[in-house]
Amino acid sequence: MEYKISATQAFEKYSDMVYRLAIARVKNKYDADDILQEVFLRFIKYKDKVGNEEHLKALLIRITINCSKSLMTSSWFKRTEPLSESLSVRDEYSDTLDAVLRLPQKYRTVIHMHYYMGYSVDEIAKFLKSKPSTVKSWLYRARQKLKIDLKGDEVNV
Amino acid sequence: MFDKKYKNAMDSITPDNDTREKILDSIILKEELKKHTSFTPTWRIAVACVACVALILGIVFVPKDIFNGKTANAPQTLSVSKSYGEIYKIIKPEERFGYKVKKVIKRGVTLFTDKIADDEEYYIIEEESAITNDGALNGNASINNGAARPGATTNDNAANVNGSAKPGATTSDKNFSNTTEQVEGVSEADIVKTDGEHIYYLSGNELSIFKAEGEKSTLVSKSTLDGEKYDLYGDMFLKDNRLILLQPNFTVDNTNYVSVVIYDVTNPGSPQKISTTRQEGWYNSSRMVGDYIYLISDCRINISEAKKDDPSTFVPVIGINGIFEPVPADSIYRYDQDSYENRYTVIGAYNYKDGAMSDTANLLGGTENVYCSQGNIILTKTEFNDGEDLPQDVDEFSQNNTTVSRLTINKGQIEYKTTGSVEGVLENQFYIDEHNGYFRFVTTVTTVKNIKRDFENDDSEVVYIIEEVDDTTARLTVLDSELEKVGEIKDLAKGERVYSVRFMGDTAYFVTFRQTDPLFSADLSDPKNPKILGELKIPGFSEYMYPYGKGLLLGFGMDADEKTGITGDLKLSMFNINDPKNVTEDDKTIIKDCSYSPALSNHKAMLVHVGKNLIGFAATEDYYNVKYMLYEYTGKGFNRKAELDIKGDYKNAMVDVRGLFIENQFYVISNEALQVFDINTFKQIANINF
Repeated sequence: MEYKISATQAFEKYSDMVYRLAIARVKNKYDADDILQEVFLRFIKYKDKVGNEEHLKALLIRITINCSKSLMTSSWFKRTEPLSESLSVRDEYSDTLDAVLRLPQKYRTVIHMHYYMGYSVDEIAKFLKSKPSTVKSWLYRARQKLKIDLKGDEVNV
Repeated sequence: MFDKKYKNAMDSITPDNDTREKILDSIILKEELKKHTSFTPTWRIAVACVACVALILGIVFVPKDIFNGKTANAPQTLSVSKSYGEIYKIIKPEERFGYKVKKVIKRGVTLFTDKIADDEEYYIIEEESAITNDGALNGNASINNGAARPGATTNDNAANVNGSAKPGATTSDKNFSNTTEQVEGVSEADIVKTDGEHIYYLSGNELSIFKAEGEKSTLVSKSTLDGEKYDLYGDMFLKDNRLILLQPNFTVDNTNYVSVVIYDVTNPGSPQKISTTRQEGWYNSSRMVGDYIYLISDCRINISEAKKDDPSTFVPVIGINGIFEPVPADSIYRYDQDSYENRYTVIGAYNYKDGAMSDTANLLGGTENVYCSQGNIILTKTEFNDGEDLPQDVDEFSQNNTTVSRLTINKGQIEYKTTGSVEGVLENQFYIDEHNGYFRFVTTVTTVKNIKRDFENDDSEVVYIIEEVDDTTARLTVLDSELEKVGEIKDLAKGERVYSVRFMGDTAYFVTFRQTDPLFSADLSDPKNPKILGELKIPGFSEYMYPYGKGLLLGFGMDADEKTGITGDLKLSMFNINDPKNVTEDDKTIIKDCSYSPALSNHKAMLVHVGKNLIGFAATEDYYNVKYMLYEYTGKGFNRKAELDIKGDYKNAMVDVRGLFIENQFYVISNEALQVFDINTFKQIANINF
């Protein structure tokens, strides 16, 4: 069966996924808004080439990572309060979120893709155009940092 | 459990409904435009215009067959708009599709559509707009005439206070440090300012003013500013007896404003508010040149709420004393009709004495980075190039390009000049420079190679399958004042990204990084023929570079493993640039057990004072304990002068710590305390909690 999806349908379905990945990448609402828009505008050009649901998801993730590469530098964003406050995340989770967002960008990207999106190291490596061993070492370093930062909280492998 | 907590936290994050609505508007608009506009005569004219621009700019990708709707991704030079009606036509979808559009609401989200989708039962049709093709825009001329130019409105309040103030009366002759700035004569705003007598600190909606007198330092006033404690912080300028506050995120009816608030601080114990002007949009950046502040904000329009007879719904507004007026139509520069922008870059010029707005320019389209010299503002924006519009014989292209717009500034007057483009992306204002009328850019270019093309059978739409994304390279581009390319150096540092750039007159220094850190020096004395002079490879990379007296360049960044490229601790490097052909790293120091500093991403968080021989920045390893590190450079190496423990909430200390000196005292300020140290012994001599 031929797979067909419009940009608005894709937006309805995957805007949260794209937005959350964008937040993990750029850690501010305003840039994440921009990326969300840019991702789906770019997606319009590719939408007819999408073969299935997995392909669609992978394409959106890839575009999100690309878009957030060049959108992370306006210096005033760096002075914002912890993101959990501006996103009104519940207190019991905010320390965890802030700890992840304090990591360097590549670390928080792999943490997000592994723990939240559930991708394996090999899959993440494909998305990030990196070697699996590199992704592994990022994950390892990220976990080390999280362990220090979150003290008691256990970070599972 | 970490993963559950993180999952729960993330699950609760969703885009705002307002944002979703705006984005859906632009998606639908673009989808519709793609379907409908490519075969209309106006489109052809537009394409022809774009093609001309492309040729003039010397863009390599000149379209082969422009009348098939294939065009290069060249930026358009904007044209000044003649009326609000013209802009309305660009922004509002109905006007552009030329047919009736249904406005529907789906789960609280407004969309425009001409068709009902398959899952029709979920759609509630709210209203059907009955706009016809002809005569829709009659009567706009009167609106246009009726709108006063905001700058012309005088501010009675301001005029009175202005007379009583004596600018410069208490100018200090003390030796003190200033905010780290890029261009001489162009001030940059920050959260801390000092005039040598007092220290001003802005935190959220609180303005604290301290008398700086060493151990006798005191808090002289603490004012709560208008509005709530925002999640985004503002910035300040200080000039003579005026404190100019730029406060982002003042919200009225879901519209964001940046407030320009002028205080008379002749008596710092009770700062007197002189005027408040609000400029629509999100705070992007600001500069002060001479007596004028230039404020750049990013304003989004909610297309679905645009009303033909009310320009304030679709152009940026300026609020003076609570009265909001749309910016004049002739201050708006627009794209041709085939754009789908719903954003403006708003630039306002304000006199520092009374906050009177002297001019404004509004460019359709957003802005990322802002560079400002004494005579020009350069705005840049990344464009994603998917290669779709390229001619058939091109088989490689740059994935991201940077659109560059130039405006001139002169004594509070702003004039838009032109728009051009450089290939690749740039990361901050230091990647841009003006020298002798030429504009220089260093970018990271990602090349897409060996693209395959496929034709769809009926409408011969070109399909690109990206075959191979090549390694990144660094590029140096020189544009003239018309933003036409005059010279470039291509294909530098294969596989690496540009991390920091410093232009010093005819020479450019830039650092790229993957595993090691080559520092390139380039000779730009002949703008048409820039040349690489030298290359120095060392481990790690610098995020920022600061001139450090004669023949020296200070690098601040991170150390890295030469083999793996994994970054480690913070690093200071001193480069000897006496001979740009043979740059050497004379000295370096690695700050053990410190892997993060806010100064890695914000040059204003760094103190670099050559006269006093002081290099200062906040640093941390565990994100709980923050230290303020102070170094001097002895000529033989770096010497750690002090490691000061910083008080304050660690989250805020991470981002809001500044160090400064006045005469023989060193002050470290965080959002909880002002700590005073003796500059020779670095013993704490005072602590003021506030």
